[in-house]
Amino acid sequence: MKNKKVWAILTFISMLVGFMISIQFYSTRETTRMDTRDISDLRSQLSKELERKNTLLTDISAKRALLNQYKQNEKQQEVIQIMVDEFNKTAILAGLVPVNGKGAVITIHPFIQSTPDYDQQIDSIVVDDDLRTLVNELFANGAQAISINGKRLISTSAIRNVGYQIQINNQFIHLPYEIKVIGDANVLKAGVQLAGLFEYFQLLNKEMIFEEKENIDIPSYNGDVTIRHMKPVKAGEQ
Amino acid sequence: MWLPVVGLLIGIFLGFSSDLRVPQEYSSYLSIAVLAALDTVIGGMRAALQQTFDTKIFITGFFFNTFLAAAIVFLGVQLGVDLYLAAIFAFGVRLFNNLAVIRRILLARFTK
Repeated sequence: MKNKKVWAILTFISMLVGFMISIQFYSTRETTRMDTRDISDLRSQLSKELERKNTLLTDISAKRALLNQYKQNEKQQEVIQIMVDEFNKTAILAGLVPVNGKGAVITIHPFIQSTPDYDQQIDSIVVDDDLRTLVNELFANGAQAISINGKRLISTSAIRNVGYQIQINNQFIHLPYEIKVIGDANVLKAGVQLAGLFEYFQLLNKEMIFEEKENIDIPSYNGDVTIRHMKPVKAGEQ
Repeated sequence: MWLPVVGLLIGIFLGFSSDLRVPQEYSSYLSIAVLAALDTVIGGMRAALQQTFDTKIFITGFFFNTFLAAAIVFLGVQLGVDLYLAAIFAFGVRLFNNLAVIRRILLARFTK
């Protein structure tokens, strides 16, 4: 009985010893393998590792440069995007692109009952002043873009008489005049009415028709705009 | 009689299947501890065969010897003297002595 207990203890302890031995075996096996290399071996290995380290370092620097480039690109892209947005906005405001929107079409044409012997030329006289007043009134009432007979009005557009005819953007226009406006049609109509332009054109023996439209296409300015005599003032320069 | 050997094999198997590793700087401690433990086990077997086995002595001997062996190695490292050789020598001699005694006992048993 006692003998059995003794052997059980011995077994347990020897199990412990076996456990320790195997761990020790594992641990020393790794260290002995490392120690068997001689100095030339170690040297060549060291130089190899150093080379590897160098290539890794150059790799890292190359990757860093790439990362920087990407970051810069991102920034540039953002700047370019902003510039493109601004450019588009400016192009719309400057009348360099065709636009489309809600607004009204105003047509001015002679009354049909004009007598045949009536002088055609006198009949056609709507002077630049009249159109200017109309356009001015439209702009004053929130018009965003205006074209007259397909001539887009831009910031440097002039409406003037040349002889008995009217020139817009240095191109002649003829009756009937069709004025396309983008803006709030109700406000525009009210403005035109308040200025008494309907009656005024009637006095000139012309009929002015104001049509509200959901969808109006206004062409772009077809001349070219050259910048002369002026340059932008940079912020803080003044 | 063969149970301790089976236990040893089981222990070895457990050690191999476990992922335990001793850091290199402590492996000398473990090696001496293993030697001390082995010596204790062999001594215990001898005592058991001679019917003089005492559990208390055996258990305390096992732990004390193992601890003392590790302590000697530690001291040797601190002093810069290879004191672990002393432990190896002492345990090695005892190991062979004990094994010789066990061999004789077993021989006497089988030839009886």
